[in-house]
Amino acid sequence: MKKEIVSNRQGICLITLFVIGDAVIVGRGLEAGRDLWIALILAPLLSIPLVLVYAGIQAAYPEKDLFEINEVILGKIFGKFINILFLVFVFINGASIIRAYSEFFITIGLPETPPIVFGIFLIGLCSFVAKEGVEVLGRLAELFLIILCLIVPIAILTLVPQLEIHRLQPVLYNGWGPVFKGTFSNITFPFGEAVTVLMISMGLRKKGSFKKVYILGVMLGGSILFSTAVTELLALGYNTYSTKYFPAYGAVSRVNVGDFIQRLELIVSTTSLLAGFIKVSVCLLAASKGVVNLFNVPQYRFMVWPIALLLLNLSVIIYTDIFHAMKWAEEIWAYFAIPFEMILPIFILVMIEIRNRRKHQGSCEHE
Amino acid sequence: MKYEKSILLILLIIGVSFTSGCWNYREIDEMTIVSGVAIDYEDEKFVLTIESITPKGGQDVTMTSDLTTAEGATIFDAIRNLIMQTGRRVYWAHGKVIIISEEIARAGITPVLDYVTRDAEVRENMWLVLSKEKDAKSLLEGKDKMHDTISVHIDDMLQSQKSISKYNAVELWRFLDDLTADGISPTMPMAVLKTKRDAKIPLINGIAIFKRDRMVGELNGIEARSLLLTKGELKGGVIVVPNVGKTNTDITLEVFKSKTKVKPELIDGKLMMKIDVKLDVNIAEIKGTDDFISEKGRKVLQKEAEELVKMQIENTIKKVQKQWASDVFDFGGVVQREMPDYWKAHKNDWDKQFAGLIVKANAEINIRGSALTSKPIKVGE
Repeated sequence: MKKEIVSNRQGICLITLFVIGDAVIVGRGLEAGRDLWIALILAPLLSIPLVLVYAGIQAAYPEKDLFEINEVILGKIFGKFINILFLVFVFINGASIIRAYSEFFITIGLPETPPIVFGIFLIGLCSFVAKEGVEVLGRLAELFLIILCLIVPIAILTLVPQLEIHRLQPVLYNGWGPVFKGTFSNITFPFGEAVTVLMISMGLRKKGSFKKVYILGVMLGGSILFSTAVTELLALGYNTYSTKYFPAYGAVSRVNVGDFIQRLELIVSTTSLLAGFIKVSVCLLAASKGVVNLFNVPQYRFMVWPIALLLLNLSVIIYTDIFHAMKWAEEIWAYFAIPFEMILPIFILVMIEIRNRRKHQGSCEHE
Repeated sequence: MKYEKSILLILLIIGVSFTSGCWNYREIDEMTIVSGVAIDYEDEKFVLTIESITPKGGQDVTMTSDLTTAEGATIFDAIRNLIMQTGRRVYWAHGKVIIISEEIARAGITPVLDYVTRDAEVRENMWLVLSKEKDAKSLLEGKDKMHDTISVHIDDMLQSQKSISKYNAVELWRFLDDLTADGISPTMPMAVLKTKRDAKIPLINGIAIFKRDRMVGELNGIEARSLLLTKGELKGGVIVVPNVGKTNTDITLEVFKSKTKVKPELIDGKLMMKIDVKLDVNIAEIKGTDDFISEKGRKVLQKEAEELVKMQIENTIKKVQKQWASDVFDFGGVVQREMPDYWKAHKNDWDKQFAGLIVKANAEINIRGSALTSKPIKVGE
């Protein structure tokens, strides 16, 4: 099978959009309170080491996806076991995102529509993209990021009259403790989730550019998330921000420039769907590759549709309602994600290093 | 093979563009559009009166308005009970004002506000108005020649608030922000009915003061202006300086710009609020022939106007401190931002702290012009 390769720029766009994903519509890291914005500066910076780990793994085996790497590094049986765990992670993550968008559109305007209707359209379109593989995904990401970079600044600029700086004061009223808590939950969602990109084996032309692409992608995504979150906080104030399920929507609904430019909510929410679309596609592709690897099927393409249907079903049954979804996202997700986003990747990278050294030693001894 | 694909594509495009639609699509002529709502409380029930508009097509579009009243145990119950009369679900996204009766405001306003903020269709930028009439509903029953609906009339009054400043214009979200935040109490403009020829129209004057979610008192127009000035929200309006220089001449100043600085200071363990206001004004009217435009006259005028503004601010704050001890001036918020440690220590008894605050106001008035004429009218011999 020919190796699928994307350009550096496409890689950056892909990771950026993946990081933005549904994080732009749901407010997370509320533990940090009014200082949420500090948490959103710290989180991307503190996730750099993590991202370097991901880049290191991919750079060691640029041709393979995470599942294949696991098998090579950890052996057939143990590797498969780890792969199953990662598969569970991807499945749950993908289904959560689909459900998040369904709940979003139900909440903001279509309360009588069953959630599965949104899921069908979203996952249906994602399957078309996922079936075509990473290259198409990369090109789409390049296009989508341009649209996003047009709409988001417009939304922020039109909100400027509503912004009041005193809503962020006093800074660090409760000290650094809550800020770090908020930072941590922001690292696990959405920055650490970039581990999923490993599973789709995004090949780059140059082997050395993995680090650059991963870090730039996460930083760019982080800065967009930071600017939107700061705008929302300045427009709504923390009290309102924390009570809204979807603070971005709440903030944009206050846009009113001269009684003329107003009610931009739908434009912005539709735009935010673009990032979610990329995120779901990446999760779908990753899940397909994982299943293919698990059952030793040669081609992943024809697995995409069945996996899509599974994701769709999971997205409906995963949460009973929006309260359940929020509880999961706020209280459980951070701890659920730690092994997959931190412990396992570091473990895998260490194993790769050990293996490389041993190989190196072995070749030295031969001489 | 080549044609098959393109035919399929065309069929798809046709299919998608003609069969797609919204799940619960509603045509505009099938909707009852709400432009304003008045909420009363009678016999343990909420009485909801909506003013609905029906656009009539034709050569020129005209609006006809209608009032419908329904009651229910809760707001949402009452809203759905409206269907019994309107036959259709009412559409809220074009709503302009929510009028709340004083009775509800005095008993606690949260039960009313919860639904309107929770619902996705009701927009957060509706105006809140408190009815001084016994029935809030009677405000909507007025008639006005300029507008098709009373709600639009009230909307206009609130939009022009900038040039009168004797009441404030409070959007739903602003009220909620103040209600939920620590260290500030919410406020709301008040409306009464006024007879205009044989019809009655609403009139807005003064501000209702809340403490937590209950209305406790009210400020008149002049006090309302001082309140706005203290909060730094004054954008215009007029200041009448009576009897300038003991010459029996009243002078009216028009405010163009205001700047307020509130600074908390600790003096011997007691908290003092220093309020510095700067006003840019024009001499808009001189009720007499004495010259207050010359440099000497201006000085006198400036001094008296500064004294007046200062007194008005201090008196308003004193009145609120003494009568209701409700921090509508956002002093708590200022202390929280500027002296977080002090706030942390005294957060729980802020009402008491507020009542005991020492307030020192200082006004600086900059007379920057006198409109078109440079001299008072000089009566010839």
